[in-house]
Order: sequence, then structure tokens, then C-alpha cells
Amino acid sequence: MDAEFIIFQTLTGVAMGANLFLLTAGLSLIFGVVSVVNFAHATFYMLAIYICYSLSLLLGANGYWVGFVIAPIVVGCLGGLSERFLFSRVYGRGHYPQIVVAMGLIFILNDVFKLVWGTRPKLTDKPPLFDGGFAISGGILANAQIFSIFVATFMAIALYVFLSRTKSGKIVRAAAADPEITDALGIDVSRLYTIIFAFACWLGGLGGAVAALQRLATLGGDMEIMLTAFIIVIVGGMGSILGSLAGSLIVGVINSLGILVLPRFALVFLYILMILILVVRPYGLLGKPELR
Amino acid sequence: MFVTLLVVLIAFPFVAGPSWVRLLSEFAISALFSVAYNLTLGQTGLFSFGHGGLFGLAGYILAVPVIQGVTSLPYALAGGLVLTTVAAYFMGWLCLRLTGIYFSILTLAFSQLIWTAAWKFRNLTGGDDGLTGLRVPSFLASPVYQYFFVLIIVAVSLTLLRRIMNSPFGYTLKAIRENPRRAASTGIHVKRYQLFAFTVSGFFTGLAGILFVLFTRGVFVEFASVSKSFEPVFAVVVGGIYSFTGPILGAGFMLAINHFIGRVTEYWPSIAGIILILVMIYLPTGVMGGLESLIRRQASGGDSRDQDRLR
Repeated sequence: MDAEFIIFQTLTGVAMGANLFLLTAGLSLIFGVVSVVNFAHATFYMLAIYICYSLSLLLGANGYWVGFVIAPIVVGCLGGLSERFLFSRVYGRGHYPQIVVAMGLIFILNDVFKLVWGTRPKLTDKPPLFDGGFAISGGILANAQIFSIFVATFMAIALYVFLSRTKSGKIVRAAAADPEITDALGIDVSRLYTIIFAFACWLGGLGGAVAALQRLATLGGDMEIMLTAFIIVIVGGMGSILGSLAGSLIVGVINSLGILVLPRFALVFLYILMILILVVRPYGLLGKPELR
Repeated sequence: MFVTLLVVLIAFPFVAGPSWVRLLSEFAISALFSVAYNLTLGQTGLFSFGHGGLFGLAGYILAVPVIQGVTSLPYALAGGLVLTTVAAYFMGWLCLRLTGIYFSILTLAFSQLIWTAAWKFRNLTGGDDGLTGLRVPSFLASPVYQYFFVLIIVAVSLTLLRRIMNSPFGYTLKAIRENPRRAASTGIHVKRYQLFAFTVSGFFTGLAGILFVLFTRGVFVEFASVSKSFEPVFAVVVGGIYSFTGPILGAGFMLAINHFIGRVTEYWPSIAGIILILVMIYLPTGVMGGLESLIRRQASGGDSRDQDRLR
């Protein structure tokens, strides 16, 4: 195993992490602002993969691009609706009812997957643009991986600018810090919550749409993704977008390097990482202790 | 009422057919699992997703050595119980470093670790095919004997669990659930109590897992899966979180959905999902909690809606 191959594998990990960032940024945003733990987030992500698959099947390989636009919107609307009509009704009772409602959503959505797409894994037809790759010394980095890094970088910058440089971003941060005072200042916080939820799910849907180029849509696969997402959020610190960026990249890289050492048990390294973080810094690398 | 129940339960296998007897055995195991689980969720306020893992772990520790011919059934049985309890202690020890939602996620991770191990160590566990053909002693061969065996163990366990829940220890757990900080300030060692509750719950969960493996005579990865962890959650939520009989009722309800609606349509999980959401929104303390407050309201004649609310 030479150094070049390790660099290549690291880049593969970065591409994976970049994609997971789109998923976990939404998870963190919802937790940070609305203080809901959306256990159904990965299921929403999976829905986007399924939608991309269907559109590529329906409209040919370039139909993927339609999916790339539409899937996140559908998922975002679904997220907003579930906040408005389900999650918002159990606010103020702790995390337990939220998780149960999310569980119900997971059950329902997985049945929808089964009903519409059946039990067999589905592979999205890629547009010709993604056929090739970019040769670097250790191997070939697929165009889809580069695309994944590109989209995530763009979204990370956009999120940063939005949250720290715009007035709307300031409102979001205010609502995260103190919803009651923000409400008293004349901002409709419950509407803001719906918007944040919808946006975060849109982001997760975007992650799914990007992942459709590389990942199969599988029934029950959302559980595995959900767990990885939670490991990231624990490593990075819940409620922190920067933390989920750091966590995603660390988890992506450790996973793809772990595959080299223990091909079948790469997950073990993620667990060790998570347990180490929990012992040393229980609130994550960039989380705040009082969020617990 | 208790005597009536006892008579019905004893007379049941002589009246009903073997498939009903099997169903009732399964219900008893599921009831034990749910009540054991509620020792953490309802009593202590710890939302665990790790119980599916413990349930499956006990099953695997029992089934793997016996089917692979390493040891005989009684040893494997004892080993399964002891090791699962130790695993629960270890899991609790590590996960209880965290509180709230972080605790839940960490238990989920542990559960998934057990599931992954069961799935990947193919030559030992049979992977996703599972292991079948567990040979059980002759007194467990017929559904009726099996039913009485399960019934006795579950009845004894439920009695024990009830005593634990109503003991000073149980009330301490409730105090921790209501307000951990205040409990700590009255001199209760919160973590130690939580860990003990988790371990006891793990022991009975392991017992349920072992009974289930004896019942199905095989072990499969599903026994350690996330959906296995969801089962007692459903039972507790629907049946009633702050009630002893609630989870038992919920377990029966879940089994009914699984068996009777599952026979009509393969989409029964979404029905379970809809029920979960509706109960959580409109009946936060489940069926038993709703009934209790209804009775209370009738008794007092006044409006006691405030008492229905969870904290």
C-alpha cells in the first residue's frame, strides 16, 4: 500500500464526507434551531434517491437532472408539512414524543418505498457527464465524487454566508438562542420553524439527489445512513453546522481508510472514534456543553 | 379478577387450537420484553434504542454455541442470561455518560454494533440466513408444554418487575425521571440508579430474547435489529407509558396488528406508524393513561385535563 493510494482513498473519503455533510447539516440545523431530533432525516434522504431513480428511468439518463432539482423540493415540502402537522403538535414535551413521531414517519415512508419501488435495490441511470473520472496518481476519482465535493462546498459556503452575513440568518440565530424573546420581538417563530424544517429537509434531499449517482436506493438502507449521520453529529457536536462539516469529513475519511485495514469491518473504526469522542468530549468537537 | 385470568390462561390451551397457543406464547414473551423495556423508558425516563440489540444478543449467545455443538442447552441458557446482563451493564455504563437524546443515539449505535456483528460473522451466526434447528428438550417440544413453560417464566418475571417498580428503588427511579437534578440534590446517586435500572431491564430483555429463541428454535439477524428495538417502544407508547399493564396491552395490540392485519396486507408497518403518530399527538400517555384520566375525571366530576399532560 503506497502513499499515493492512501491519498486517493482519502479523497474518496472526502467525497463521501461531502455528501454526508448535506445530510447532517440539515439534521444539525433542525436540532440547533427547532431542537427536534429528526430521526426520519435519512429516510427523507432515501426518498430523494428513489425519486431521482424514477425520473432517470422515466426521462432517460438526463432525467437525473430533473430529479436533482425536483427531489429536494419534494423532500423539503414533505419535511415542512410534517413539521407543521405532526412535529409541531408535540413541542414542549421533550424529545421522546418527537422521536416517536419520527419513528411513525419512518414506518410509513418505508411502506411507501415498498409500495412504489418494491423491495429490490434501485440504481439511478447516470447522465453521460458522470461516465468519466479524473485520473490522479493513486486512482481515478469519479466525476460523481467531484460533483459531490463541489455541491457540498457550494452549500457550505452558502450556508455560512446566509447564517452569518444576512439579516434572515441573524433571525435564525436569534431563534436558536432564545425562541421566546425572538417571538416577543415580532418574529413568527412557529412559521420560522416550519421554514427551517423544510429547508433542512431540502438540504437532505439535495444530499440524496447527489448520492443517487453513487448509492443504490435500498429498502431499509436509511437506518444505516441514519446511524452514520448520528455518529457524525455526535463527533462534530449537535447543533453546530461547522461541527457537522468537520464530523462529516472525519467520518468519511476514517471510513474509507478503515476499509483498507479491515475491509468488512470499517464501521468498527467509526464506533471507536465515536466512543473516544464521547469519553473525551461528550458534546462533540464543536458542540456546546449546555446544549445537552 | 386475578383468579379469573389465571383460570383462563390455564384453560386456554385445552380449548384453543395450537396456532392460538403459539400466538399467546409469543404474546407473553413480547409482553415481558415490553415491560422490561418500560423499566427504562417509563420508569426511569431513559429512551433506549439498545434493547433490540440485547434481545438478539441473548438469543445468539444461546443459539450459536448449541447449534455449533460447543455446549449444551442449560449452560448456553445460563451463559446467555449472564453475558447479556453484563453486556447491558457495560452498555449502560458507557451510554449513561450522556443524557437525553445523546443517550438514545449511543444505545442505538450499540444495538447496531451487535446487529452488524451478527450479520457479518457469517460462519458463526449464519449471517442474514440466520441459524435454525435448535434442538430443545422434549418437555418444550409441544406447543402446549412450551406455552406453560413460557407462561410460568413470564408470570414470575412480571411479578418481580412489578415489585421492583413499586419498591422504594422504583420510586427513586421515578424521582429521577421527573427531575434528575432535584433527585441528585436529595442525595440520590442518579447515574448509579439509572445504571442499575438499565441492567435489570437488560436482564429481563435477555430473558425474553432467550424465550423467543427457544420458541422459534432459531435465531435471525432481525432479532437484533432496529425494528426489534422499535417493538417495545410501540407497545409502551400505545399501551401507556406510566402504567404497568400498559406495555402488556400495547404488546398485544402490536401482535394483533402484526398477525391479523399482516395477514391481509404487507403494509401493516404503516398502520403501526399512523397509530404511533396519532397516539403521540392525541393520547400522550397511551391507552391506559387515557383510561386512567377518564376514570379520574368521572370520579372527581371536574376537569382534570391538566393532569393528563406529560411534563
